[in-house]
Amino acid sequence: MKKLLLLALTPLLFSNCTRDYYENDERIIIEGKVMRNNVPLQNTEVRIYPVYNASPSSGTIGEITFNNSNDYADDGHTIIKTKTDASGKINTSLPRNINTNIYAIKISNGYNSKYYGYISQYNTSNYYVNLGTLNY
Amino acid sequence: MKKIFVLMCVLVSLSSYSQEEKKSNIDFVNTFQFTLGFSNLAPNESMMGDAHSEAFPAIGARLGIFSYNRFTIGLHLNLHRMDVKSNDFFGHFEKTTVFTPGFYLSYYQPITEESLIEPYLSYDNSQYTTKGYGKELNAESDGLGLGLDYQHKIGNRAYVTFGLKYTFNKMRTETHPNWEKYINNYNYMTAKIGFTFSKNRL
Repeated sequence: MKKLLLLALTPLLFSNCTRDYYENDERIIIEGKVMRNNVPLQNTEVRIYPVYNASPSSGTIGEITFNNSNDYADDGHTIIKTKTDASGKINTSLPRNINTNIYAIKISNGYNSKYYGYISQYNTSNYYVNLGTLNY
Repeated sequence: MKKIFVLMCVLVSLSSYSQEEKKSNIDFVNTFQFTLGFSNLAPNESMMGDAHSEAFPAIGARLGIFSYNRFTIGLHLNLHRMDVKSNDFFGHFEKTTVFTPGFYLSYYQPITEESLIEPYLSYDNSQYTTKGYGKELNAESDGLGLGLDYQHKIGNRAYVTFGLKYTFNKMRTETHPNWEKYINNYNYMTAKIGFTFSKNRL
């Protein structure tokens, strides 16, 4: 019986191995700047990840606060992992996720992280999004 | 592995078949080449070039389908895999596998009694599969390859082959016009060594 159960669950294990599929037929350019107390935050880790359970209604990008710490959090499927440059600027690109066009941004400085969102169809124009200045 | 070996034997046999035939202007399936080498060498400043390391091994095979005098038209297949060395602009992945079928047109020119050079043009339709950290990214490009092989005769119809090829690729990606050139123009060089089996050459 145990063997049968293991056998039945095996496909589930494999189906979870690759969850996010992307196509390179479109690339959205992402630019922005990270500041703290009006000073550019340089060499700071910036991650962008797909979000499947959010429905933004406008293109405004601001800090996201969660009711539940797992809400919309990066679950390990980061598509972009980069760092800000000497002037705190972000410059990267996103391929097309086949399941969602909504993304969140996670900025980590030391052990602290803040989340910003969302990149969506409301703030994407001609394959370009300007995040503006993200105050950390 | 066994199947690949059998297929190679068949292609080599085909290209060496009818040894006693007299030379004619027109020939079919008379050349087969198998090579190993490095790819993604000296890439231009581009998203793909900046994101990836050199590829080794790059496996290549080509089959001459139709020959007229010294011209040959044929098919080629290439496969290489490269590490993602920079995630910044490309994405958070580990490795990219590139499968490239296409066709080529070549012309060989003997330079000594034992050797020849063979410049060629190729159309390369590359399919890229990038994986890592639970994700997969698929991409495609159209390429024009300019190559030159040096072949030295080592047997009745066998040649040891050294070659260089430069490929101009255009990725099939829609993006903002200001970044279009950086994202879509991807050029690189391939260096290879291997064997060519051909009849009616030297």
